[in-house]
Amino acid sequence: MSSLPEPGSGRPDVLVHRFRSFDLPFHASLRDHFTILDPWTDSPPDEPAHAFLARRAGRARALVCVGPTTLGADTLRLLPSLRVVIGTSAGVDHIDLRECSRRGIAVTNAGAAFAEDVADYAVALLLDVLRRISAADRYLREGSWLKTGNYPLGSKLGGKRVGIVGLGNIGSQVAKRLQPFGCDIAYNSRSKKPSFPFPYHATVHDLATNSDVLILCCALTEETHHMINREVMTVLGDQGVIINVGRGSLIDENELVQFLVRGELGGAGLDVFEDEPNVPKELFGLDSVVLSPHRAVITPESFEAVRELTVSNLKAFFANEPLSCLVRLE
Amino acid sequence: MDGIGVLMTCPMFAHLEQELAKRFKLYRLWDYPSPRQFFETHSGSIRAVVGNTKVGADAELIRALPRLEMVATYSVGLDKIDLGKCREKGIRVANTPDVLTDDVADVAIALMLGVLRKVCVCDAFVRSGKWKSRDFGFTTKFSGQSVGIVGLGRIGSAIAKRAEAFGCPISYHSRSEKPRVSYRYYPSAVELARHCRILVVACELTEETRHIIGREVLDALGPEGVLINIGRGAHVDEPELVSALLEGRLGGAGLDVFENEPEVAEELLRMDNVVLQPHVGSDTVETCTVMADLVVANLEAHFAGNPLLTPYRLLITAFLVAAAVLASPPDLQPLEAVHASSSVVLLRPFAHHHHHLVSLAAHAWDHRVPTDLSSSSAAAFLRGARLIGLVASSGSPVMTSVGPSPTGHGSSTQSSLWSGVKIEAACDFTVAAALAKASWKDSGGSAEPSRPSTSRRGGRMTSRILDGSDSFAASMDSPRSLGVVGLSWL
Repeated sequence: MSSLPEPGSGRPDVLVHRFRSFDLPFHASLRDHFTILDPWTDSPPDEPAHAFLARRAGRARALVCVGPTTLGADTLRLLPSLRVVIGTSAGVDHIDLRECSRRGIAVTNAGAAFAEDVADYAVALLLDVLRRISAADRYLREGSWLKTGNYPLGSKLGGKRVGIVGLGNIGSQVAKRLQPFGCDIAYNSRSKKPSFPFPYHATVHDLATNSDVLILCCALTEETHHMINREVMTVLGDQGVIINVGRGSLIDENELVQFLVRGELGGAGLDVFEDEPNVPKELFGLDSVVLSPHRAVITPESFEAVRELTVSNLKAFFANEPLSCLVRLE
Repeated sequence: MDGIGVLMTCPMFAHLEQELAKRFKLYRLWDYPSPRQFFETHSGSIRAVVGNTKVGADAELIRALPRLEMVATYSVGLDKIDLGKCREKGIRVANTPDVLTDDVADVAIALMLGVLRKVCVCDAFVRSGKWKSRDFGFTTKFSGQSVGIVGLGRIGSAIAKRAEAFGCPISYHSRSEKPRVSYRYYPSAVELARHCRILVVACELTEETRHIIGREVLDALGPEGVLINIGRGAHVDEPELVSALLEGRLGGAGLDVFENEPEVAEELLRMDNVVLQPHVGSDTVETCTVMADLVVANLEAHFAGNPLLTPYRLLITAFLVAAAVLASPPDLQPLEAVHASSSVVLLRPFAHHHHHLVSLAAHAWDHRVPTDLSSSSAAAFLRGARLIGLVASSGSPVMTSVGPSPTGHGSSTQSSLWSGVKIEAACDFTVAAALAKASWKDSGGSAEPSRPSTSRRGGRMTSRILDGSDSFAASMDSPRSLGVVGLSWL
């Protein structure tokens, strides 16, 4: 148990909320400015987390939620002074936003910090699926180029109609990267973005009808849960490709697997799944998919950007200055 | 046209085979136990050959087909075609330039992303079931990494455009600096490697660029550096590459080509920091279909008596002409012809300032491939070629006349060389000021080889057939002027 500074020592209390196995890699730099309360390191081993919170975290006004640790109403209820939740991931679907809204607790996410890396990864997955990079690499390494001859043809990226679902930080960075490849870009988003020069479609179904590729870059909410369903996949068609760098549950995963196995969907590049780290094993035998263990944001640069953003948002909060990356709470 | 005999040299693409068989009497060389047996029975039937970079049209094949009129290659590369022999016999050559630029550039970017973000390794990690028990770890951010491109032709430029959208600063090395390009230029591959994180090979394979990536370049690229090769295997000293990777002197590599395809060094097959592709650069259904259609269209055009869509053409300097037709003065260096894939053949000029001309023309007409020619074969080189332009200098009396001239330098070789030449366009302009500044950027637009039909300062348009006694002296009115003349064989 670490020795805690006396209450009122000048450094404000900040609660760190995380799964035990999820470390917050920048603990040290937070401790420079704040008094960090972490149930996993600061409470006696036999004290349950909620008891620690009730005893010690009553005055904590700020909480850092290490994504995707669930932050539910039951935990929030133990924190009467809480005014802000700083999320360290782009998604905030693990946070009870309704409860935060009811209590007037502000929530921030880290979308802007990751946007480039996620956009890069989306393009990487798309190129891999269309040009069969991973599959051809496997083919070569297992000796088939020598034994069997040329790998079957892939598909050209230029000229493809790419539909971006969700035109936030990440979606707009994806669009920017795809332009020189000669793609026709269109999008669906909660609302039309007048500054964005590409065609807008009011529904995902409409977008899918007019696209060869869908790239999912949006947040997971009640509305977007399983938005990629059988109807959408049917209109996308057997040459259609889905790239998911959002959240697994944006897609009805069981349907997706069926479509892919039956060849009714052309291919998929998936960085996220409904029940990570479990991945439907039917996908393992398919050359038309590229699978990734939720890596889109895992670069040293992104981590550094999140650290900076977290520290600066906490400082801004305690100085009564405006916060960045506020999540809109309905 | 279905009676016309067309020989396909090896299996290439089913769609191409089908389309050829629909229109011509198609012979498949691989259906016969040996080429010799094919020639014995059918050599007289073949009027066109369709080849590729595996099996093209070498001297033996060309010699064996007495009625051969055209070679259409299902590729951009012409290295498997004996161009000299084709020229000698007046056989037309067509290739498929441009159509695969996008696909190859896409693979270059895919390889960069694949190596840095470890996409293939991640995919294998998930498929093996390992994600259930542990996490994968960090990968390297791609956006913003410095990218160095060796060879800024069509493909190199396409790669640059794509990488720029990821915020990557671009620099390049090529034979000479390109005047209208904003990327940073380095005069050597080693210098370039020193100043970038990701080095891409995108140049043509020539004598000069063979093993352009060797130990020195790899060491300069360094333990954080990544090599991407979408050119030819022979651009890279493969054993050096393997040991640089094994010893950690190089960070990673993305390779679509190898020195001895389809063989790939054992050691590479076991590495996690490389992405390997079985030469898929242009292997998309879309591009292969376009290439096939182009081959068919070129053949149809030829047999219908129409101009080819994508002929392989040559453009020759007057130096070549003059030196070829005249006994070379002792101060002329051995001729070295430099081709551009689309249209330009320039001889290495003997005067130092003409290098500017060469680089300007090369920029306007794209990349070049040097071939050694002795002056005696230059005449044969000219004959049978279809020319669309010629860069000439009238800087000395020897160069004054582009055509056969009555100045006393004439010879029967001269007149036979030029007979049948039709001039398409001529222009005449002075670049003395530019040369004085030793920089083509300041040429003030006075040198515009991209508008060869513009004539200034006494130049004139001509379009007539030289009959062996014409002289061009009149169109080069100033001893310091440079002329651009278009010539074509009928």
